[in-house]
Amino acid sequence: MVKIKKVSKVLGGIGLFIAGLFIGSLILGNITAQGPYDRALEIAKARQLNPDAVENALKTYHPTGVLDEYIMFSSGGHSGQVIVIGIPSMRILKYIAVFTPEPWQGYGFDAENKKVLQGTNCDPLRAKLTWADTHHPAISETNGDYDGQFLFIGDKANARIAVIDLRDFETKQIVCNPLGYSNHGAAFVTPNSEYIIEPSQYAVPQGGAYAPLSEYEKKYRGFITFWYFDRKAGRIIPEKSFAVEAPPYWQDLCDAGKLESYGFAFCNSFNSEMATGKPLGSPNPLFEVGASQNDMDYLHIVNWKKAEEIVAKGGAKEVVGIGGFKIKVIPLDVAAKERILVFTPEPKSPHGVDVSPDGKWIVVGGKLDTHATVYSIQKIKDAIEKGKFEGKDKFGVPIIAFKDSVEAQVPIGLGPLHTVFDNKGFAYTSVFIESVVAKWKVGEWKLYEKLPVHYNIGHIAAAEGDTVSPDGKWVVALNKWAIDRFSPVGPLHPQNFQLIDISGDKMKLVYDMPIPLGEPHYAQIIKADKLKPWTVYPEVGWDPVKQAKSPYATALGKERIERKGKTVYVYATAIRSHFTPEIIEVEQGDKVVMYITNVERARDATHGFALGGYNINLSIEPGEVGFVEFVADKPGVFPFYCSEFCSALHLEMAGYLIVKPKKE
Amino acid sequence: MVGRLAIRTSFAFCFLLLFHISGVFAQTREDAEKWLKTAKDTLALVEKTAGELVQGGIENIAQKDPAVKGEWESAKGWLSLAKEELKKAEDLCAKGKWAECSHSANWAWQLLVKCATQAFNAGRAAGLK
Repeated sequence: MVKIKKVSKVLGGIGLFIAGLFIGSLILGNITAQGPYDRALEIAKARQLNPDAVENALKTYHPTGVLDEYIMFSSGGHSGQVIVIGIPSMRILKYIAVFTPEPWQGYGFDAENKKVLQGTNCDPLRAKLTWADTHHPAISETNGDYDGQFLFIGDKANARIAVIDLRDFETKQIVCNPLGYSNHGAAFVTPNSEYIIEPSQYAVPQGGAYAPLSEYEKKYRGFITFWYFDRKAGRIIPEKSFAVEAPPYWQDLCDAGKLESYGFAFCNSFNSEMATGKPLGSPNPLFEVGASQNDMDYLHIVNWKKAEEIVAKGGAKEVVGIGGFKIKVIPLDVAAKERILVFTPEPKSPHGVDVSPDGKWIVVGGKLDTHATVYSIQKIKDAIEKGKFEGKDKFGVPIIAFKDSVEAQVPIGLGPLHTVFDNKGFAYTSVFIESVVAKWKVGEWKLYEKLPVHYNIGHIAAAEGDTVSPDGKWVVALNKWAIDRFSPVGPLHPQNFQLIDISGDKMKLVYDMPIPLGEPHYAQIIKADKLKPWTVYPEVGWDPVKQAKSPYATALGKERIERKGKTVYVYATAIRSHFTPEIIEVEQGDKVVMYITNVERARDATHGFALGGYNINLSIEPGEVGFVEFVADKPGVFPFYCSEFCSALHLEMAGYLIVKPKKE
Repeated sequence: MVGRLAIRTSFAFCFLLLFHISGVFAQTREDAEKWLKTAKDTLALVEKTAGELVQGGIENIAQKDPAVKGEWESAKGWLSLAKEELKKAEDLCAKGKWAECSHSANWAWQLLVKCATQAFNAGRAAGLK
């Protein structure tokens, strides 16, 4: 880290020096060859780079071997993956396979991680999915600060949450929500990662039941699920989790309270009209119109600490949901009566809700509004404590009057969505329709600046931005449209991440990064030195799913093939540049179970195991035990080989699976 | 610069007009007329803004820059649809069909929002704002 800081200082110094030289030269109209940076100036001139561009380049360029100060975890959108990006270089470091099979990492091919992909509690429909719409990553927190231990991410399309262990950046668990098929505001964590918050999006009859749309108000429901996270086990424990039933208002994003608002969660909603769409030939309005009739929807204020108590006292009912999986649910009437769920109005087609670092303010962006609307947790607490409500909604949920909960409305532009914070008391809100980042001051409630971005910004991420102590320095605009920013590659354009330097008085756009993988939604940026990933597994024979030594680990010289009835067990090793055994003979119809231990200890000495014809490719990282099982139902000779270029004689790292035809 | 501010201010103004607290599904005469007024006011401001972009030379830029052309033509397309829908809303209100008028005016306004989004992009791509 010291090295990085030093290099950053040096880079900064060089940057200022060159920019100074350049500006000086321009002023004098005399870019001549003198001094050690002549060549750099010549290149800048030849490329028609102005001093701003030169400075931007110097801020992001990292010489070989120099590491980034921050790491960003971005949703990979439709890819079902997470993208790991270095900040400020914007170099892609990894795609973490989460909800989608990923051949390079052998994810969904290895017998162990195939089970992970199928999910802990997923019904048959969702156990077979091969895509996801990953939305909001959340780094685990301790006392409201990113701790760098785990990453959680939600799949909007299928109401799933994944747990990624940041020791090896691999997915360890996927849970399916038994109450419904979609979420949006997932994942968000409480300040000590006690719970991972997952609200539903599109209301459905609870637990996957059927009910016609004519019974929408009566039978359709939303839910806000609090998944209990066992940090020691590194797993979500569905049995210790619970959900709060919510009206069918189409809940949206959430954020957890912190410090002054600890114990609360805040979730938006945007269909308080309970519009049910327009069947063909019907006079009903389209959702687009029907769900935007009201100027105010409801900010859901959830007291999860109180909910926890009610669950402990037996106040929740057990709902048997999709696939027969159970979850505890606090019924709506109980949630309303106990004031676990309280509403306050929020304008206008709300989307993002973000809690300030000190926990005092809750900022809401309405997609069709022109303000960032700021609520005071103190006012909300006072109103709840005094029972000061303006009424109840149709479902009996108490409503705090807008005037009694709101602190300010900051006029920032057309279509505010999401807000992040820096270390100087500024907030940065993404403004979709206007395509700008709006910088405004918390407490002053005053707009300072707007920075144009390209184009139609969705989410926005800041360095350590969701914690109790943001760093400032960098903001990334996650733009939905790129239009003309990159070389055309057909009608499907990449997304555009734009890096913004927020260290000075004015925001400065410094870098465009195309994202050609899917449509990322949220991202979180953590200080790189908070992450302590392994560079090789702790010991030879490691099972990455269980994060423990595997009972099937095989040492060099102990390789063997054992037959038990119709099952052939192969205990193999992999080391540069051979598998042992490299000839495996089985009979047609045999089940083959292979445990392949990579006995290497060198960084990056990964071996692949690719078996043609059987749809198998493993990535066996140093120390790991790869595990594959299949039925050898086709006779023939099938080459297998190392699919990760590992050594000079990598091509020789091969073998044959010989499947003898069944005897007639 | 003045043009940029005018564009932003006028849009902001028209959006602000809409900001009211009804809290009910808009089906009454009052709601329908409110939506109709909002859509009409927004249309006037969108057209004014479009005029400013034209004055800024967007038509000429669009002829040379396919990206600008795409955004600008799209903005004009949405505007045309919005005008049609607004006419429909006016007719419905004139007939006292308040729910239908309300939905139609809301839809016209949504079309204007799309027009505004695209117009902002066109201006940005053209370097006008």
